[in-house]
Amino acid sequence: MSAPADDSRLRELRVDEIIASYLEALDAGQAPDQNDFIAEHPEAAAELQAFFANRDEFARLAEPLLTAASLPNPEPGGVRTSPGNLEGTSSAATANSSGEHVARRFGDYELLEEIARGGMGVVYKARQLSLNRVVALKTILAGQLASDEDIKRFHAEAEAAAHLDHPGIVPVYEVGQFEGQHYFSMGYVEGCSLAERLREGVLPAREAAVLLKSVCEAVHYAHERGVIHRDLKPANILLARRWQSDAEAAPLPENSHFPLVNRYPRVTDFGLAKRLRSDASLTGTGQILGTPGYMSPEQATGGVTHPVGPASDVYSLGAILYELLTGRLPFPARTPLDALSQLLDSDPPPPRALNRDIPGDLEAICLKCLEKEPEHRYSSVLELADEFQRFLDGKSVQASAVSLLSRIARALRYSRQEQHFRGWGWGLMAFGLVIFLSHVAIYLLEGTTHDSRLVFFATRGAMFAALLFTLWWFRHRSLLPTKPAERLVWVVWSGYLLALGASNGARFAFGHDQRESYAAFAVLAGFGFLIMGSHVWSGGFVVGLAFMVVAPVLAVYTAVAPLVFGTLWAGALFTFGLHYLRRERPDQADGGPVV
Amino acid sequence: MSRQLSGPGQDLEGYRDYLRLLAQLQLAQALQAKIDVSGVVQQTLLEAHQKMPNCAASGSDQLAAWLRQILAHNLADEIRRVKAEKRDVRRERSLNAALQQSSDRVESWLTAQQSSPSLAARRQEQAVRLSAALAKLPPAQQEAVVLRHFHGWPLAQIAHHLGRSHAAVAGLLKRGLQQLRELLADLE
Repeated sequence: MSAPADDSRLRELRVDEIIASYLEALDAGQAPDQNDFIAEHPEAAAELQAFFANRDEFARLAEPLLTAASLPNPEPGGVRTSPGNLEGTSSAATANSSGEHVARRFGDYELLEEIARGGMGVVYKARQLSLNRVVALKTILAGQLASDEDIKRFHAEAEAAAHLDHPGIVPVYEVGQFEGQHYFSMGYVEGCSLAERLREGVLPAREAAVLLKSVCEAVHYAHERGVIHRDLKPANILLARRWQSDAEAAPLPENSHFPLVNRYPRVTDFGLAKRLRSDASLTGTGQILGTPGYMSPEQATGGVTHPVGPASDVYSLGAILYELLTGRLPFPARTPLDALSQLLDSDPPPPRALNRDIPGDLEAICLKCLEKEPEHRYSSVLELADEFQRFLDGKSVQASAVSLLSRIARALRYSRQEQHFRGWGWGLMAFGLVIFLSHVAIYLLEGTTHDSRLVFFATRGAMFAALLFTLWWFRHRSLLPTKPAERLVWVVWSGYLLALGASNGARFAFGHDQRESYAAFAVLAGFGFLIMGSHVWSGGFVVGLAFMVVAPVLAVYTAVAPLVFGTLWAGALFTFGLHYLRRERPDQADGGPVV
Repeated sequence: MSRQLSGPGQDLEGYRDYLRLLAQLQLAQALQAKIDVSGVVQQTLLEAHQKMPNCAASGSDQLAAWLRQILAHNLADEIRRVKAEKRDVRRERSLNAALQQSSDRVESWLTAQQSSPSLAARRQEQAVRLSAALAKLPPAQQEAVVLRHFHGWPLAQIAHHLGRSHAAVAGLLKRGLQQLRELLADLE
């Protein structure tokens, strides 16, 4: 065994001994303060912290089991002793006979029952004493709001959410801080979440449409007031019991063992969840990373490609619809990284490929929501709600009424690897200009002086130098590619230039007319653009075809070939340049409260 | 032995680990070797499968409460059977004590269940998931965690029971809890 392995083995033994000494102290009836204990053993601080966190987590998870087995909680100090947790603030910890309700005070609130626990904090069912009402109280784990800026933003968001007053939205009552712990309180909803409902299986199509239409209406209400949800997912859609009196919902198919007829959805966590680092790692050792399952591409890239806006919520609603219909996420992935790369580069399998029973119209709606580019999705949630209504009324939906022409137009807007080529608009146009002017020069000079080697090399050399300079200038004084996406582009066009050089050399040696080569060059360029069509922007297909089509013309009209060829190149590069210029926006990170 | 069972709309198989753990928690340690816990659980699931009404409406909490009751009855029967067999074996005094203790426990568990309301569905699912994750742990870790966190044994007693040092048991607990957390995160 090697020395480092021995070292880590020894170190682990040492950690185990320290943990044993802690447990022995517990057994002896002492309750060592965890923070003090960690401070006494700084060499094992990380391991101890993880161990305590895992114990707390276990104690919480084991509680229902202990209740089911009607056993008392056995370990002294076994429950919630972690630093920064609520233990320090509890004034009265009483348990009833079944041990199910532990009433503790938290400021103006009496904590009745823990409802859920997630990466960002704990949700309790609680009673607000001053108003004597039952609320859901969400505490934010320490470290979730790292800076004062975060805290300010969180409060601003909570206040914005507190102004939302809609039956489909769980109201935010109060946001505050108690003994250093941030929290907010919201309406308590009796019922379960859509995530729990999903565990029982997929929803019938009509039921999914009815449900999501209501969700859309609520989300639209918030959008109108400038609040973006940012984290729509089944767990944030609660299914509240509907009062008998207003159970006049559309009749739904019977054979579901979780009829939603008497339920209506209420959206919770408006604009708040994403302010917190719920997707960052939870502990140093646990490394629980959130998966971007319902997140739009622009959110996953931190708002770099497009600003996060209402369209992001449209995407999330599409992902929810996808899951309601198929029982799986659009991009199920083993790791967050996989999910992210799929989210950015792949299309989800059409829902009907997974389940033939899904109506085509609903599939069309779903896929339109899941478009990578925000502008290809529904322009508002209200529009999506209308689509659902059209589907429910048996009318044809807009998403599937797309004509062939607009399908092609849409396909041509499809742009990949954009983050790498953004900002290339002007550069490409400069390339186009250089090539155009060079070919005009070639045309004029070679038209007057026949077969002068000097003119030939001077014009080509000047063009090549100008191109290199342009590249160097627009790439901020560097020439070589740095990213895989760039590398392919470099290889294709260096290859093109080499081929041109070789061909020119050969022809020059045999004394052919240079102008006869332009047809071959055009075919070669067209081939390059076809590759660009697949690699960066589908406009490349059109440009490539244009080169191919013009090639025979160049072969026939050799006299004007340089002019036509140069114009073609300029046109191609201008097209690409314009494409990127249109895409270019001020980089707008997902920042600043949306109020 | 472990035939896959499922009822209409509900997957009984998912409750196997949960029921086994509950049964283990009811039995005194000395009795665990004498009673075929897996067999009792299997019988419970079989009975449940046969008696299961086509209960479209019953939630997972009600189903689990019902399963627990069948399990408790079966456990009580099994303890009675072992008792009858051992009646004349005087030497196994400690076993008798364990039998008495466990049968008392199961009886009181049964009455507790009949009087207390069922758990909320969410908490119920949590319990089932935790049981499944526990069942996936290596046996030594599993035993250490169950003895410590459910039976509340002191470290010294667990160390003696497992024939390991205190530090080794602490290591089992540390790794067991860590692995549980990861397993549960995967199950999420």
